[in-house]
Amino acid sequence: MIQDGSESRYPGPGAQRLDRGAAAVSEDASCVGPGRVDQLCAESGPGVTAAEARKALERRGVRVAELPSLPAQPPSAIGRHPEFADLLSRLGRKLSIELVFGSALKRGFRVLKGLRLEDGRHLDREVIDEARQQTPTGALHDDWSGVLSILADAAQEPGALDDIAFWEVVEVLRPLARLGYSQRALTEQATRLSLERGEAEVLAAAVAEEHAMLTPRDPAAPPKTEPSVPAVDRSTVADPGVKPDPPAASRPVHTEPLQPVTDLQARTIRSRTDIVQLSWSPPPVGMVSLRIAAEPPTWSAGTVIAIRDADSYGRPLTATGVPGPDRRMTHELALPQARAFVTAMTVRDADAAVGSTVEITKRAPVRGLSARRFGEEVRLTWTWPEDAITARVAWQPSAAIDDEHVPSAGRQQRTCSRRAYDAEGGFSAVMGHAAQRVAVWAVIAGTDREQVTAPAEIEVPQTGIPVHYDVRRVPGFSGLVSLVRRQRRRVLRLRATRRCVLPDLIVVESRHPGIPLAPHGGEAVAKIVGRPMDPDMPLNVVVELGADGPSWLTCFIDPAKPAPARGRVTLVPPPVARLRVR
Amino acid sequence: MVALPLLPRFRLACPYCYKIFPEWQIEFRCSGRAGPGGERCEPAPDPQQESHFGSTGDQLHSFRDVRHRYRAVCPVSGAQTTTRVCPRCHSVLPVHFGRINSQLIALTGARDSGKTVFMTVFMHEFGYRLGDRLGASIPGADDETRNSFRRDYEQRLYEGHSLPDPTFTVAADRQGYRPPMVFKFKRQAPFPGRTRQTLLSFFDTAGEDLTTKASTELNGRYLEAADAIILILDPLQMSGGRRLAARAALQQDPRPEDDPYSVLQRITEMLQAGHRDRKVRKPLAVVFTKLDALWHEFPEGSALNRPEPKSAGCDERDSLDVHRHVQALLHDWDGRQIDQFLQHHYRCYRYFGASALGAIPTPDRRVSGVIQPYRVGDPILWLLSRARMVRTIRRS
Repeated sequence: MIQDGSESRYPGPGAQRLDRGAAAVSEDASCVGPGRVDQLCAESGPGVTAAEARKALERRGVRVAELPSLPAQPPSAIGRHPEFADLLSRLGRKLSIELVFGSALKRGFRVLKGLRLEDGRHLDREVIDEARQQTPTGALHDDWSGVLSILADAAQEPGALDDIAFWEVVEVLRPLARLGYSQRALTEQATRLSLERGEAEVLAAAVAEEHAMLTPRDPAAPPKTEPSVPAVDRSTVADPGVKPDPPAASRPVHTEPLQPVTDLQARTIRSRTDIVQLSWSPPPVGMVSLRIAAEPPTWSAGTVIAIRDADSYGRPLTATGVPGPDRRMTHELALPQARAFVTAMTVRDADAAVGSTVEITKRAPVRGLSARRFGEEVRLTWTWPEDAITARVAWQPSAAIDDEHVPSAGRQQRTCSRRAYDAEGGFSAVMGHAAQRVAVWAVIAGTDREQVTAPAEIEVPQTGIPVHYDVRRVPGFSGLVSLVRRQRRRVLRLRATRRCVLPDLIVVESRHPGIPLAPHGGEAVAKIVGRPMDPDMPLNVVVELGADGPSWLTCFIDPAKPAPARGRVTLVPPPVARLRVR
Repeated sequence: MVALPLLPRFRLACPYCYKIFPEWQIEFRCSGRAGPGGERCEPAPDPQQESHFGSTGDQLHSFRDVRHRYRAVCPVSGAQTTTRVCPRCHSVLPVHFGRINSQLIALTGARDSGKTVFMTVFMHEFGYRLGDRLGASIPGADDETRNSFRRDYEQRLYEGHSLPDPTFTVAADRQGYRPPMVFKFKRQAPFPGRTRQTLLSFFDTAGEDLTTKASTELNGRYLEAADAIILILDPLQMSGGRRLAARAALQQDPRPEDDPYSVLQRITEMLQAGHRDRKVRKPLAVVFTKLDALWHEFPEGSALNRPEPKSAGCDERDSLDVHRHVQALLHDWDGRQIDQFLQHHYRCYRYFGASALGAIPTPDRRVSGVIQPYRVGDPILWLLSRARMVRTIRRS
């Protein structure tokens, strides 16, 4: 059955398999070669033709294209110059044509039918000579000139420059495929080089297909294995069918040493308990491969090992790092159920520098987080995870989170030790009257450093804006007149702490021994019509009371009004003795 | 009342048996060390102690020495001793007994009203929060209190998350008699380097002791000698309270003899027995516990929805607000007659609302989360402020 609801044109189990297979292909690829179409036919059963498979793929948005054959060896023009790759990496470039065309390359280029920029320019001796005249001075001058000289020499061979450009693009993608990048990720990497997207898809498909052909498939290892399962990789695994490493003589010689990643960090992401974010600073040379395993590596950080040794450790994370605003690469990873370690390895050719390792165990967050308000004070309680020693509690007004224009200055954080939590009956803090979003992280003592669990979050509802009221004698001459006439009159004074809309109020007088707790607990002696209130402008209302005293005088929000009209106001009475009117 | 250190006191109350005696009757107990002649006292059964507390094991020789107040020489062994014992029950008296004030507080209430939990949580709170707030400490005054409180009360509740078993009846079995818990309340005196100390004795009556006239006789003495009384009442035993309470809190059907009004009447009869017909003068703190089952009923801005006061004493304004609020709630809980009865029979009483656990326990008498008490310190702070042991904070 087709999951997206569209009707299948190929009834029967073969058609269903074809559709499922096409859907699976489309998850990872936007372009495939004829080989993949044939494979899909074979997987779908005998009744499915290549044309049907092609149509099924196209319906899923997968283009079928002829894939180019990828060069196994570097073009002879640069094969004669083993320092070529090293010169480029020292210049921080992936493609030599960047030195020739500069920023013009950013507008896009193609390589499949010879190097051609989107503006129509080609790579030839003339262009290279122009670039040589503009070689920057300074420390990079020699390396820059060296690369352009090699290109100028190559320009003498017909088609050599096109081969070099094509080789360089392929050589950018091949290590990524070895690191486990998906085909879509390869496409993205190719487009980041400014390669035209259509060609990027074709080249990514070709590289992925080549990688798939060269990779022995271990039937015992499912695609998504736990970290304890060894890697199912790849070109570094000894296998007769695997592409051999280039002969030592033809390997590029690198003079700059590999530098390990020393600042790999893992942190939990707010509001997502199942994700951890890894971040690291990219090293100057080489690619960073993240490998996950059940145990930390036996090599110490900084050790340079053979890539086939690195491949034997855990499995690679099939992911692309995304540059963050702080120039660090980031990658989000689903937290594994079991304890796991992620190690960053800087890979170049056949070497890997072991970098730092982080533990990313999925620790259970605090459970049963609950909050109870006592006015401005909020008391939080939760159930601690095993081994937690302390908790970090952060809160922030919900309005500040929802409104991106409000600065996050309202965020506060405190630490609560488990001992204090148990002794003091939870965690209490004055958070104010506004609604708060509270997050609690448990901190667990690790072997070498603390681990922070995913946060548990709760929304603490707001209380109404406090409006204080008080009962006073009528001041001045009119008060004296009331006294002489034995009239029982009082001034009800209302004062808001913030600007608000006062709902309709009723004033209740009661002669019962107990103070009235609800409007029906006495006789309504006055009604106050709702109005906007300002903190600087208290509202005074004179209330005529019954003839006999003493009595209680209290104020309530009119319950007869619908709930929205009652507003978000909390009436705060004065000390109870002030409510007693003689 | 300030004690005059040089004059003997005529009326002292033993913090263990609550019997009254003059200071010169205080007895001494041999230290057990060998005297100058090498003689030693051998422990032997103490009939006086056994008559009060059942079997307590063999004790060293007790004797009276009217010429000395704080140390004496054992007539049997000749060894000097400073251990003083009550002349009535032969309990070892706290170190400064007679020289410092003592305040005997009877903690009483119906069965399952939460007396033991209340006292345990109060003591724990005092150790962790209230003590800092008041600048005071409240250690156990004797080994039995120190060990028993930690082992039988605090650990069980705070670490075992288990509610204590119902306190057994005093009348039921003398062997299982639970003596009062005696603590020494110490706080900084106005003069540097000096402290003010007071003995606090909490006698935790079993709820069953108050359900019949016969069983209340044994408690009469304690209530009679007590300086103040904390009466714990359970609003869930009142029909109106049950109507408003959270359903999870209503795990047991109320027993007629545990009705708060009946309990109050019986206690009042005990206090008034043998006296002229007049109002009871002892301060009475009437504490309605288990407020957690009724929290949802209290409106925002209510005194029972406020944070607890943080002042270094008894906040009189807050206390009065709570008193009036609980008084009004009594009418909602169908407890109007309680208020009327108190008005007619007591000169000094105040209502309190508290939650010792902060949450409803599970049906198997366990606490599912952390103990999060609310206002458990208020009643005792009020009583201590009445005895001028803590400050009364009066705000305008």
